[in-house]
Amino acid sequence: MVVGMYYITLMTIILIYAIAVMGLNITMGYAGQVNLGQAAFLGIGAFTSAILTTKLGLSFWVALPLSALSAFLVGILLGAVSIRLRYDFLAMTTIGFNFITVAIFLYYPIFGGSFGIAGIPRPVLFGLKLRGPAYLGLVAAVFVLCVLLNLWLERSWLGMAFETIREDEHAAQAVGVDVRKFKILAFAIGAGMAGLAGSLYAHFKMCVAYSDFVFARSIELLSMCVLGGLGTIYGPVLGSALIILLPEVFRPLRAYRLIMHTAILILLIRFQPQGLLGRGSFLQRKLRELLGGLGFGS
Amino acid sequence: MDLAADKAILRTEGLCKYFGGIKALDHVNIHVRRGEILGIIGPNGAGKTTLFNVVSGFYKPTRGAVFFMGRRISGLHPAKIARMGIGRTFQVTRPFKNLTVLQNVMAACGRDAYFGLSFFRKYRTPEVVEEAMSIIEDVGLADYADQPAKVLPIGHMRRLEIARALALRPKLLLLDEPTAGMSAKEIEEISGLVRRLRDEKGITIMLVEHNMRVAMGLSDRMYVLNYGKVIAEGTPEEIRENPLVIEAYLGRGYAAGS
Amino acid sequence: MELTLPLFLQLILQGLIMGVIYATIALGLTMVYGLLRILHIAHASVYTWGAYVALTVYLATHNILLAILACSVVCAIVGILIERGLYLPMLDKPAYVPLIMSVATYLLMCELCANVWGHYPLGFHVAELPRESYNVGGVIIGTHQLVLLAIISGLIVVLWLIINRTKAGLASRAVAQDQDVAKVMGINVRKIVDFNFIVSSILAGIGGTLVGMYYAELKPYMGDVVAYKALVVIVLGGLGSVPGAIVGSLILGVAETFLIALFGHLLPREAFAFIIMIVLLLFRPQGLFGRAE
Repeated sequence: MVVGMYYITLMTIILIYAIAVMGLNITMGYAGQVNLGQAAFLGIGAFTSAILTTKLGLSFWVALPLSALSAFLVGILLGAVSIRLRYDFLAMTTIGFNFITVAIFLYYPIFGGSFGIAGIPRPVLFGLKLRGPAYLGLVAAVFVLCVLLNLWLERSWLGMAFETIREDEHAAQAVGVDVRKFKILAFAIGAGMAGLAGSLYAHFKMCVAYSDFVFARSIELLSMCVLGGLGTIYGPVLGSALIILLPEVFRPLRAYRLIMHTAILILLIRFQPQGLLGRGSFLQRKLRELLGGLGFGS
Repeated sequence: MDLAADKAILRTEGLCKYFGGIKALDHVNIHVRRGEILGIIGPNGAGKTTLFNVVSGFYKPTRGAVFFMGRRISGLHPAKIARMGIGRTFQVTRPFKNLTVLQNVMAACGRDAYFGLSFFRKYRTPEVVEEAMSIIEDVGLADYADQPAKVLPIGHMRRLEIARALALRPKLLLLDEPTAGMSAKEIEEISGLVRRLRDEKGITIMLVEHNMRVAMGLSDRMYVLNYGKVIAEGTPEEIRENPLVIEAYLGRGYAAGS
Repeated sequence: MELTLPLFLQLILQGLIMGVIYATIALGLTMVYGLLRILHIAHASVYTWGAYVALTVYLATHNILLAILACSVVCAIVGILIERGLYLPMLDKPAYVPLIMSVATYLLMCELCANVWGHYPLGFHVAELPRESYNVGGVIIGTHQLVLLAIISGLIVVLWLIINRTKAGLASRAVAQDQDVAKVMGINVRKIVDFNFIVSSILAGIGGTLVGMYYAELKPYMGDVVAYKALVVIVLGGLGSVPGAIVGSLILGVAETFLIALFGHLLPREAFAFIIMIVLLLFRPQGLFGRAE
């Protein structure tokens, strides 16, 4: 069923990216903190998982949470650094962070140099190797978990704290929100999700190298996040799906991926910064009219 | 000397705030008595908002200290000071623009939830909604509860700021020019609200005001600042006749003739 | 590794060369930041495009001066297009908007470059550029190095004179300090911003061309390293400060060269500059000549 595999592969990639973008969405969409280096966290998760399974022989099921944890911890570091930085300095720092991380991946032998790490094993569940549809099932399960996490976040005081920081940091302080603590959390949680995605990515592709996590990938993740709609639950997966599917549907776009990502970013930011599903967006208004017309409340 | 200072809910001691060469606050000693409405007036640039910023923790004092209910609070993080019971509004309003009025106030109801690790809980509980709504009704914004804050006209934005500060259950409320930009009718309403907050809820209020009528009408006691120094203290009547105050506002020539 | 005098001087020479290369982009970045408070990362694509246009014209005409002229014209136009088309409409949006746009534009233009001229390096051999090496007391100096240093330094001096001795330069500094006051004083802010973009874009374009000639090759992403180093430079020198950018470029070039020579085995080369930047942003964000905000 070669054709079927094609769609399964596509879905798997879409969901893996969606998870990383959901993390970015939490940092940027909810807490309003610019992060132009999300790919670095994806890489941290991927390499952690790769090293733990190939060099230490640990099981995927142990490596997965540890990958999220390692990214989470580095996220705490970046978050701590972010506290004292204004938005433009912060943006520069996250870019620098991406570059430093990739340089580290390329430089130290444990990461496999320019070739990276290969032979990353598939996860094994009850003696069965998870491939194809089964792997998609795994990724889907993690995706659903992240959606639930996101839904919970939106409803909790944590989410409220994030949003107050995004809207106005000083006012947030004045109502008792310790901006320092929550900025650290915003980066850490966003990073942790990317770490999860990284692990799933590594065991899907079965090989990872520094080049998978360069700055251009951060821009790709950013464009997915902005396209879908910053601060929404389903924006990330929509953005991810569109950006991955477009070059599949329009073959010529394949060679021009980065042009596509950047052009989309530029156009969106210029004309519809809230993204496709964001507050007051064209799509959201149309959906509201439709649902309203069908008799559902707003 | 101050017996009165012992009933002080807030006290500053030799408070200085310098920005490079500029002395925004210069050895300011004031105290605020529990349950009073204290007015802070002074010409532009006198240091009134700087005083608020230092008290609420947004600035660290260059020298001196601030004591709240006997505890030294100067140098503490603003979020901690807010939690200790000092609420404030801002001279230029800072609403959470894209959140609704109700959410703006609920945000402040977080209080203890933001500390430690209890931020896991859901925020939109019936208790919290009820508490927020009652505050919103108190300030007269009930009709706007579900509107995003950015659509509010200026008068309502200032009410929202007061509502948000109230949700902290403060013992001391710092109001920074709460009536600026309002119509005469709105000023009446806000003044009434301020009085009610003190009379019915026992909140001590510190008020910075440019509108002299409002300041004198509301305050039990006042301080006058000029160039970062306290130049006068007293009841509104005393302040009205104080030649130093008149000089500060109108210049030397007028003081002699009053 | 023993730091002998010849080695020391060699590193200094190397550092100064890197420094002036960084300056070609850093100056434009700092000037634009001073005026618009935007990090004009897309400036690095002007640098790249300038080099490619110059190469194209040179291959067609074998006249290096004509090539540089063409490059200047194209860069000035591209600079204005970016300013008017991308930045001006976005000034009232939240701060990260023009920043993301600039980064995206940079990447977009580099990709377009790669698609038009190819992903692989292109040779840029200019017959007129002398490439002899001389050994002066243990220090190896190439004439092409001296030419690069001389020309870019000359351009920097010209820029310095423009900023400090012309009316336009004075007006630029006024606008950078306080736009509203400048308007009240009758300065046409629009024109000044245009002027600054033109001047800095030409500098970047010529700089890119010279660098391409120096290394004798062009790559679509040749702006990458310089762009990100230029960010470090403007933080070091102070955002918006022209003297800061000049001094900062030289300091970074030399410091980086020394650090890599001494500690290059510990950390990847590119990491040094970024670590310097992050440390600066944390502890002295105003850099050397900037204003503390």
